[in-house]
Amino acid sequence: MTAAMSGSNTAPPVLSVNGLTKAFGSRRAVDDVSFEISPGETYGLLGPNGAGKTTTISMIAGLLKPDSGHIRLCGFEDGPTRREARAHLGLVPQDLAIYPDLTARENLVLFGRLQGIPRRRLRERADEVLDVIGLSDRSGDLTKEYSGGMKRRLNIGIGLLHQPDLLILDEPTVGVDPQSRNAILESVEALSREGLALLYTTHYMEEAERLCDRIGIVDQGSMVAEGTVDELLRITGEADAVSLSGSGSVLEATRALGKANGVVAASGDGTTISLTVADAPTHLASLLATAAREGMAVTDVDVSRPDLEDVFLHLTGRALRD
Amino acid sequence: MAEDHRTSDVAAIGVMVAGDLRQRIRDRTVFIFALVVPLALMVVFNAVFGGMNPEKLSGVRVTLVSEANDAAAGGLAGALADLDSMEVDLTRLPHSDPNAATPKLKTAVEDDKVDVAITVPADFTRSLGTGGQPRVTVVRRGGIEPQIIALVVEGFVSRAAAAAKAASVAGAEGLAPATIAQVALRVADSPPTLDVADREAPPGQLSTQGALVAGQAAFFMFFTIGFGVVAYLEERELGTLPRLRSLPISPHTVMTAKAVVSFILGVVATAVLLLLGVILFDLRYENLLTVGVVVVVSVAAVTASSLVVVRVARTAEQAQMITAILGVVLGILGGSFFQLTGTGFFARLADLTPTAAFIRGVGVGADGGGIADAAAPLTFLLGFGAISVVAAVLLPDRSPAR
Amino acid sequence: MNVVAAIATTALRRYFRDRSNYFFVFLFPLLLILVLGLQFGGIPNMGTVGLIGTGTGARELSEELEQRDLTVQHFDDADEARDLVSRGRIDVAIELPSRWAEGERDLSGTVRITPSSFAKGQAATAAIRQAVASLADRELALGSLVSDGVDRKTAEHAFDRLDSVGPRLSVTKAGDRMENEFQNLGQFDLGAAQQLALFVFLSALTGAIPLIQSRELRVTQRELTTPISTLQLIVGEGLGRIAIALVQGLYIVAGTALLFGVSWGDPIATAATVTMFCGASAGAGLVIGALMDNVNAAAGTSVGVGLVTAALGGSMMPIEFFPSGLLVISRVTPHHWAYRAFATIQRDGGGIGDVLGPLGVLAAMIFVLIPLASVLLRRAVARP
Repeated sequence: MTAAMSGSNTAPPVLSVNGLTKAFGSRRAVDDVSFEISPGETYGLLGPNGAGKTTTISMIAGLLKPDSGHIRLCGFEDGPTRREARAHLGLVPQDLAIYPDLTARENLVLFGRLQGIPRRRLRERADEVLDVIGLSDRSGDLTKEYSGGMKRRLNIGIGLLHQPDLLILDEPTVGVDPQSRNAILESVEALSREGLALLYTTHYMEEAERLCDRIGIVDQGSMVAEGTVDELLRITGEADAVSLSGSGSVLEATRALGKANGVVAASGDGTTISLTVADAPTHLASLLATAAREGMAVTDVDVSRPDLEDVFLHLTGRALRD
Repeated sequence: MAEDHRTSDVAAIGVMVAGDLRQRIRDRTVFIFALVVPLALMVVFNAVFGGMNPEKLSGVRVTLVSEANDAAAGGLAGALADLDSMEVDLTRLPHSDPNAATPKLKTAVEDDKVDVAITVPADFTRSLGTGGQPRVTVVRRGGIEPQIIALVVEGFVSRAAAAAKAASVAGAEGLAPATIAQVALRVADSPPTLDVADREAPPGQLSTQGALVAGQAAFFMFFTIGFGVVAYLEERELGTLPRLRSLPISPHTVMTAKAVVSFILGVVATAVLLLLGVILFDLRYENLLTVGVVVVVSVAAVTASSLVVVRVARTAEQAQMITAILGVVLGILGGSFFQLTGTGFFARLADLTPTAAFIRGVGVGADGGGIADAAAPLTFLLGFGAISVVAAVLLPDRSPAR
Repeated sequence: MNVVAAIATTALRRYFRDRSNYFFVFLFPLLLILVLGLQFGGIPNMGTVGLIGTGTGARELSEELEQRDLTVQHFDDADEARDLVSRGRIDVAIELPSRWAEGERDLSGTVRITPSSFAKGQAATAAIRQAVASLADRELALGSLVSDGVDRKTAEHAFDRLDSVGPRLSVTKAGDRMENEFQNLGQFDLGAAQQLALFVFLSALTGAIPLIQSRELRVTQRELTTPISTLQLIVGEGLGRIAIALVQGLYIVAGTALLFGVSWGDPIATAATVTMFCGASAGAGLVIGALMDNVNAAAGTSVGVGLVTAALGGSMMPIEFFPSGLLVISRVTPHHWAYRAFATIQRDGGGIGDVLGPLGVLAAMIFVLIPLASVLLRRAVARP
């Protein structure tokens, strides 16, 4: 999927950020950040709290003026300063940017009108969105009565209301219980499947790995690495560890696998084979086929790969989470 | 085994008070409400209202037109000069003077050259003797000083009228002409049958600035004190309150600590504002002990009333609103901005406010009265505080989450 | 326009959903106008006298005092009345000689007066002396007749019938612009106009608070990521607040007209003045809301600024009484211009054409404050 997305798509990017820089006083919150998002792509900005993710998003959404750099948004050269450009943009901010003393529907209608959705259409869209975020039966209640998860869902719903070309989600799962979190992640996946381009910021590497086609790792305002998950994992230079357990001709299998494509090293006792593999996901199928061919009945496979946590540690010398 | 670290409640209160005070001082809000706004209001109100209620009547310029040797006019001139409450700058003109003509006099008054112009007709005394009705005319400007002059003239005319009537009755009753003259003369010349003597008012009169400073101090006392208790509700909403409650301290400790914070803020802010009065307006507090006791008792009473607010309010926002309503209503009634006069319904209501009691108490102390002289306001404040405490204890807690 | 309307109606909806606003917006202004009208409305007088005793003698004196523009209140207890003097509630307390107080025609003895130390106390004292003296005049005359052998009854009868004997007095007032200025006003008229300005402005300033809250909630920032401009946002918020202010302003106009019979004068000119004043007030509230970041501090500032400008702008003391230096400062406040417009409309029966000057100044304030708020808000949302 990843390769297909980034490789074959020749349509112009929905967002292209170039050399974005913003300082508050002497502190450089964002320092020369560049990246692109293609239509339908889910792009993740991964970094610890305070890395400059929200500042970057604020500039993309037009809330902050960059000190330097260029933002091209949905075909508009001057980016979010053009009001028409902002109509193509949906923002789900990290804070619950909703009025607690308005109902869910009133919140939706307010932002829908600001987006310029005609009234009739707006009524339909509000119903659709309320349905999608599962708040139809509570749409007339003041949002201050809502649970945390319901507020988060409404927060996302407002960003979707006007059917933007690019949806920016700024840490949408912070402070959310596991159940709601999963619901949010699932709906993000669904949006991606529908072909919506997403910019997703998080400091949870599992979320980035699960959702994003490509990821930019940011630290202290700078983009320190960018690529698909696999590309990023390769940066560490660490290979994957694969262990196969089973019965039958285990020793023969060990020998054959030692010569197999992608395998760096192989060792085994009578029941388990430990392999060091350059790219386990690519080669796993052929490895299993080799073992079977040599007469081993594999009962258990364990793949252990380095994760983005290791990548971040490798790049910055610090842990992703404080 | 864990050591027993159980803190005494008093020590716990001390810790919480210190922490809260630090927060309040960091937050500019208390500073704005307790000092900056009242100070600004004092200065502006003084500029606007300062001249409204002067301590002294101002002088008046009076022109008296009469025959130079007219006895009655001479008496009137004497009465005017005898007015001890104000300076009378008296100019006497004969009828022959070109400026003595009525239109000229009127113009002089209109042009603010003279405040009151009095004309006693040429043949005034003679005319009275023959049963005539000579007309004394007064042209005056507005304001109380010219009105007082007019009243003096009115008194003079009233006395002359009484004498003339007495003479007329004497004539009708067939008394001898000499006796008739005698009767009239006696009426005109005798000293008043009634003495009027001034008494000193009891201590407690505040100057305009003194009332302004005490009034503003009383008004903002509610808001300053309110911050302490609103903090209690805010903590409940933030969730720090349950955490405090989980500590091994008695349940009333937290509330007590908030009340102590309110009390300290209230005393400091009120004392500073009263002191600013000394610096800005040269006020004097003759009996500092009385003023001090009044401040402490008032702040305690208002703090007690704020405990009731905590009981009644569901949220910090509600508590702020109730505090604002209470503060403004009690302030307006109690005389923070203007003194309600007389004894009407609202004035009676005003007597039931701690604001009025505070202003009264400060007035007594400023005027040199001892604590005994301030007994009435102090008793009221203590009662107000006691009722508030009882109400706070008896009222059920309306907050949704405890 | 749709965008602006959406923001404005949201501001309105949120405001009126918060019930706690109702007290200060609707109930309190009318209450204060009532209190002030009862206290200070009508003709300025010589002071308030506390008269101890209720007998016929006391009543007789009370009539004399009232003729001299004094307000009389009766007390049973001298200490209570004297206490009220030191509290500034009444200007002077009068204790009559006991027999007189009970109604006997014995005008001898000593009338004891406790005046306040203010000029009003001295003025009231002077008036009381004259009133007491004039009561004694009749007694003096009768005493003189009796001592010369006239029967007391006969003397009284004859004396009281003699109306047209003795000198006359005529008093005219001249050159008093101040009293002429206010003579066309009813008891509540001045106070209603003053309090309208005070409260509408104060409420509009506290309108800063929801604006700050919207930023704290980050809703403002989110709104600005939609295809609208900051100016549209501010105009929307502004219109919402003008609408709130208008509701309050017109409510005070209608409420005081119905309840207290306040005559506001020409309805079009009044409506125009209220509208322009509401606009300037809302603009000031927006500026504070864009300038400050702390809700509590903004609340304090609003109250402070609201009361100070009200005092300076003639909402507490008519500007006619201001010294000239203060009058110059007063012109900075929108209250000042509303006061002048209301004065023209209420006192001189002015129409819209007569108040174009003050209305122009208010309009200028709107056109300065709203763009200023827009710039400040843009800066506020750019703060990290």
